[in-house]
Amino acid sequence: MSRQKYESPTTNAVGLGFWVYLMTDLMLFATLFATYGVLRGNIAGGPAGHDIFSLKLVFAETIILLVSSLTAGLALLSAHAGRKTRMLQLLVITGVLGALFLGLEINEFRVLLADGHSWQNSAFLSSYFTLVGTHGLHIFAGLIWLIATVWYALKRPLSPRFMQRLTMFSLFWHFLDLVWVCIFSIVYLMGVLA
Amino acid sequence: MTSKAYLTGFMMSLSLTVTAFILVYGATSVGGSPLSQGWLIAVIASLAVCQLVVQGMYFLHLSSKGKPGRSLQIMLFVLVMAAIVVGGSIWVMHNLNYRMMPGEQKVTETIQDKENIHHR
Repeated sequence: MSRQKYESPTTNAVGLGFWVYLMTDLMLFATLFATYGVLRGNIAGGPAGHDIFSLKLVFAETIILLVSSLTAGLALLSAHAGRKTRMLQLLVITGVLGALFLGLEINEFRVLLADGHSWQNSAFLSSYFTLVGTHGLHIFAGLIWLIATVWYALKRPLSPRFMQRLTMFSLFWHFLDLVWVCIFSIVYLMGVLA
Repeated sequence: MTSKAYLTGFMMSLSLTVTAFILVYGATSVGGSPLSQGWLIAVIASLAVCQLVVQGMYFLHLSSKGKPGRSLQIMLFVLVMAAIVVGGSIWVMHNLNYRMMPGEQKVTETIQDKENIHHR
């Protein structure tokens, strides 16, 4: 793939604005992590993290999201190289992996609820569902954005405006993977150890 | 940015994730771990920080050089704010628990240990 001039997201007002939005999202997740950090010991006689987390499932989710982050980045590169078909293929793979991740997460929540571990049972569970659920909602929003992007690309040629949208989408998607790395390490890995 | 850079970032992230998973899975499901729990948590945290740096460099293209430096500056500022919010909350609430409920959590834990209560 040819080396192209990489457009930094903050070189124009829209890109800078989007970056600032991502940073406010980072603060949102920081407050949710703080809440979780404070409340994770308050299990109210119910289950703690190591009683309910399935490490293998979460590991699979992590790998799926990481691969989708890679394909999102490669899709942006293909678009820069003018290879539209390849870009569309990579975006579809990204979407399928994202949907798979979301499906696994929803199933994880469903199993927890079926076992009677609802968010109403303890402060630990409330903060856990809020933190992980907020990330899941972001993934859901990202999938809608992805479908809109693919739809737009199918109908129009690759324009500078489209390139900016795609750049912002890939930033958003990488950012969500970054947040997930924190959730995987702090909530799941350390939760299982505690 | 080239596809090689993305693949490098991906392989590094993948190995960091797999290492962290194997360490914890080995310690909890397979058997013991040579590391104590405190060390294990420190290692997991370091691996996570490494992965954040790797993904920041290779996926988000954060760099201190040229114009992209601006996005890194903004992010570093926000990370400081986030650290104050997270660290401050945990610190203050830990102190509150310590002062308001002396020993209560210990008592609950002891009772649960004695009665061998497992919520599953």
